[in-house]
Amino acid sequence: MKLATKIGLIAGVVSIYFPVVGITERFDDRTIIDGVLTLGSTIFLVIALAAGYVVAKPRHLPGEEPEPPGPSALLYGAVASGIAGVMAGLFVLLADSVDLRTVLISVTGTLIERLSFGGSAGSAVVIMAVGGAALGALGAGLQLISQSIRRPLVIALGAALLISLTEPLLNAVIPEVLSKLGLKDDTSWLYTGGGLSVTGAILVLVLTFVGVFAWTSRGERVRQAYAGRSNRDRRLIKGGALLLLALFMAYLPQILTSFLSEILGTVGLYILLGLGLNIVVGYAGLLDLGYVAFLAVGSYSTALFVSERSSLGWTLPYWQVVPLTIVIATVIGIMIGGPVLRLRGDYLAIVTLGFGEIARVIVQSDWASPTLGGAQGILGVTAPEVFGVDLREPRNLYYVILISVILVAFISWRLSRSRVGRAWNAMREDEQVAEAMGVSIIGYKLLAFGTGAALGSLSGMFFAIKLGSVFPSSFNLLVSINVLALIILGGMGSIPGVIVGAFVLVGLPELLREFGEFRLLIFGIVLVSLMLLKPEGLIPSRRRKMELHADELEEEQYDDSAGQGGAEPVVT
Amino acid sequence: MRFALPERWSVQRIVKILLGALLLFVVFKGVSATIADGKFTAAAWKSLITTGLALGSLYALIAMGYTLVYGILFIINFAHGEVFMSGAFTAFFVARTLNNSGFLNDQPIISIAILLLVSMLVSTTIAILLERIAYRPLRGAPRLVPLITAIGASLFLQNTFRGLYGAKVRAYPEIDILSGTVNIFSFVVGKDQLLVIAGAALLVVALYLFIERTKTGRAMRAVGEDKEISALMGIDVDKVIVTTFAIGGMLAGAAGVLWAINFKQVDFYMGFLPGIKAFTAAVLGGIGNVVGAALGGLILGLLEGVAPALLLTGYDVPSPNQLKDVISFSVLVFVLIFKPGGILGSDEPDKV
Amino acid sequence: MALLEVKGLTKRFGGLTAVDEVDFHVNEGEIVGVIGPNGAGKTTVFNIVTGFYQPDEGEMNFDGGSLIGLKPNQVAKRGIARTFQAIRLFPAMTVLENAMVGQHCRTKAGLGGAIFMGPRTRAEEKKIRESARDALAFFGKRLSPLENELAGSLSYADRRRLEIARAMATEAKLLLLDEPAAGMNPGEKDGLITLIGRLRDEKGYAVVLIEHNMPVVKGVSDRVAALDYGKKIADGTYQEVARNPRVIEAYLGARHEETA
Repeated sequence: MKLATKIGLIAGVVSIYFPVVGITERFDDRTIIDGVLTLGSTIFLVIALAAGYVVAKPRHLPGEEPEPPGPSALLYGAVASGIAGVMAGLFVLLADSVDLRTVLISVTGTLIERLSFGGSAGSAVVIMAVGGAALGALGAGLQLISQSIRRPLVIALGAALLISLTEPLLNAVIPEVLSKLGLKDDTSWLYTGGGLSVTGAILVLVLTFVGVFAWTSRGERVRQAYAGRSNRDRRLIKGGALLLLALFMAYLPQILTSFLSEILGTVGLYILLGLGLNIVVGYAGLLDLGYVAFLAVGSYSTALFVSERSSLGWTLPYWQVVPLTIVIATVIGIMIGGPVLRLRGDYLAIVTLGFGEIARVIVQSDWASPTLGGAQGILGVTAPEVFGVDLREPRNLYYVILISVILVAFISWRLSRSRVGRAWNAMREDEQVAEAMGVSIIGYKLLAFGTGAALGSLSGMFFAIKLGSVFPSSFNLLVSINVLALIILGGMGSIPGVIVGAFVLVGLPELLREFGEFRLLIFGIVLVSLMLLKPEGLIPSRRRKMELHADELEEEQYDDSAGQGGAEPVVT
Repeated sequence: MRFALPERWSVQRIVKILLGALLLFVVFKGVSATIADGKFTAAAWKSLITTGLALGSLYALIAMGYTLVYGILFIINFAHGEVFMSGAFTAFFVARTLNNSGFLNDQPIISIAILLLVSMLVSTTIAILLERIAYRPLRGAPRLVPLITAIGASLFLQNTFRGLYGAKVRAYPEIDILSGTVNIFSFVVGKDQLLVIAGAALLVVALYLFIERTKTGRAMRAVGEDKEISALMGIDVDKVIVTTFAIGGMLAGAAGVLWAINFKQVDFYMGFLPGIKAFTAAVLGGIGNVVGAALGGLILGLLEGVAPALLLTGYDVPSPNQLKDVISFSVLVFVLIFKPGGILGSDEPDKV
Repeated sequence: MALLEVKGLTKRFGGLTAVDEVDFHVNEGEIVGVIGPNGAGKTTVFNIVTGFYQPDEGEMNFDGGSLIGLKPNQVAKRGIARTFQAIRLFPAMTVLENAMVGQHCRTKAGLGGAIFMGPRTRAEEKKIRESARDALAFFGKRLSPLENELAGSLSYADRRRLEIARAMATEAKLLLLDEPAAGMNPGEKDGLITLIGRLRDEKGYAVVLIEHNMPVVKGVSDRVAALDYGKKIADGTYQEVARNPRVIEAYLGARHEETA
């Protein structure tokens, strides 16, 4: 009961938090199920369900058998979410009687009206308390049903939410596909009013539930069959799957609107950046918070050499600009890296962050503006023809980016399983031991830094061409953090992880434009919860997983700082 | 047989010496050109110095939070800038209310005390929550993990306060007794600047005494040395860590109000740059070291106040003040190259 | 001529002289045990020889060249490999990869090689793999079957073995083993004695061995040197050193009953 109260209070605070910062009101514009549910109310539903679910979770001491939750769990769940509901209701009552708006700008009349469900604020308390309790009991009830049903159910709910949120994407793609297949391009069976229709929601829920249910019972056999295959077969299957994926990506622009192609291009750029930084952070273990500097170097040098309106007064053909830019970026990377790479891990982070800021401040300054254009940037970066392909055409640019991504991913993959990659890994794990085995630390750090710089500048080039101009404001710290976060989200050192991370962190928010100023807030929540719950990322490399979950086992032998640049390995 | 080894002339060392010489030359040339130019009067220099000192005191105050936490947990509490912002931003509404009722200028000292109290309360709460939610579960994880969490928490807090209080830049009300200037050793110091410098100095000294003289302070140092042994010695490690965050938060809250008094405005983004600068200051002075952080803060503030004019004017750089961040970060890089432990830190090579 | 010759080696940390004018030498194919109480400066000597610390005074010659001023990776290339007192593997790399890192200083494929995988790189990669497997195979059925396991998941004794295998993979002439018997049970210690003997007899390594465990030192050492307070206090066969009154006073005295 004490636990129920505690969780109820936390859930109450959380459910007040969302309306107070303005998320609820904003998200109410977004339909999840047409005429039934908005995203704003979904948040309340999820909080209430989750509170009940957590309270009812069986608790046990290590080594003891968990006791299956009994019917009393329902009561506890109801109490927890009921408390949350009462708190939210009291908040509405408070907001209704006192004008909070002078301080808390998001507590508007509309918000209060909505939270009162059209009735009086007093009735809101009752509705929220009762509704909360009911949902809490429902959430607790999830614990009572068997795992084999619960899992598909939860996944189905998640899938419905996801499919509804990606409506702008899917609702543009599906009609195209349907008409290509010779069917009627009508999607009203799935989507209405910017979200799932009622029939669509039921369809998605049922299909996902059945699908997942079947997979959990059958999937094991498929997996075993795959594992039973010979190494060569497995490689063939993997290669075939990758080829299919590449072909699909190549076909994609044909069915996408130009807005979506644009987003795909942006995601591609971030994948390139991610792959580059992955070498620096994931392989070599050097925490670089100023990676945006290389994006800037790539963009600006491309703009300088390509734009007729740049301060140089002359231009170079594009095929010469590419290698030149890469060389410039690598040299700058090594020049920056040289003096700072001997620093301990955290110091390196802050110094690279400093370099990132320096890059932005310099390009923005009046001092550099005769050359770099100051705050106005450099305009007129004409996308030139390369081998007869006009890069001005967004679709062509998409293909060039796609090819670059494949190429860079291939290089990353080759590197990871080479002598160089092993040296980087060894260095990341234990710098001093790697050195004792003959790895030249400074040399390999510079190599990683230089490679990262070269790859970062590559995306910078595309960036300049894509926008047709460069502005200093594009190169802020947030880009560095974004790239770092997508690597971590996907799983450090993992190439598929980078790709998935880029889609999730860059692609999704682009689709969820309505979230506007709350994107970063949600981004922050995602980062924190990911680190707390699954620090190895979504698609971890095997190494990383080991590193993060073996410490219980290893504690007595491995100093936790030993893996991070040998800061103070207290080892004799 | 006994003889001294010949000095080792490695490439690194030669590069270092050349770099140092080049640096000295550049600085010398710029400074002498500026002085020969005579564009700035003595009064102008003095005003730059006071501005720099006020800024530096604020950096020093915020840097305490970084250096204390780093000294104990060895993590960069990247969200500390937001802790600072939260207090200042919240106190704004109190200040506005006080101003509207006229109380602010009737009882300025009580008012400032109230503002400090509110700001410190909010910042401390945020700092403690931060520790409890974002850092405690991650103790013992590889260092990258809490750093990422810190970045996430920083974004979260920034945008939460934006959602709560809005994105507008808010003008802090003027406090009448703090307008005007006083003359100290022929330096014309704004009364608000004086309050900032004196307040920060007082708080830093108090902190220093607290850490050196009290039992809690000793416990903090012990936990910084070795958490496990401290726990065996009967120190409640969790409590000490929370205390550390709370103290850092308190000082950041105080810095928030002083910052607002000095710069007269607040917004949700105000914590970001001072946060980074304060961390830079802590590293500059030798992180983990309270005196070092204070020193680093002052140096950084002075550099930002004086160096753009002193160094860059000599090179005819237009609007040198735009480049002040470049100077402060460059100084950090150079200090770390020549003295990797920071100004007051130790340079012992890593143990094998 | 001695393989490794150290003369007048001195290292100070602040006021403390951790290593004080130590002389010693190791001949080819010889096993030298280094004993001494905790804090006597044994590991510091290893750290100086392998380039982690620079000595304040003294001379170190290995295989016809001076080691002064070399960095650890250069020392490794010259042919000295070491293990660490508290095992330091690359826990998140596989057993085989750990050994393959040992081959690093004998190979040279760079970025270009890694990306294009030309015939030279392929051949080199094959050689790396084979040498690493050879090193693992020295431990019989202990490590080879586990080559794809992560090093962090090995048992304690196997980690010790892998550390030695990794050092062997550097194709060194001299192995510096820092307390290899620490934490082993008596049976494993016997195995270790045989193993170190085999390192010399089958593979021709010279070995320097820091060890507290007297039966192990006695079992394998051709010669023994004793350190105390950074100074070398005795040198000779195990019997000679064990009988040396200064050694008994400094070290064996306290532990005589339990070890002898």
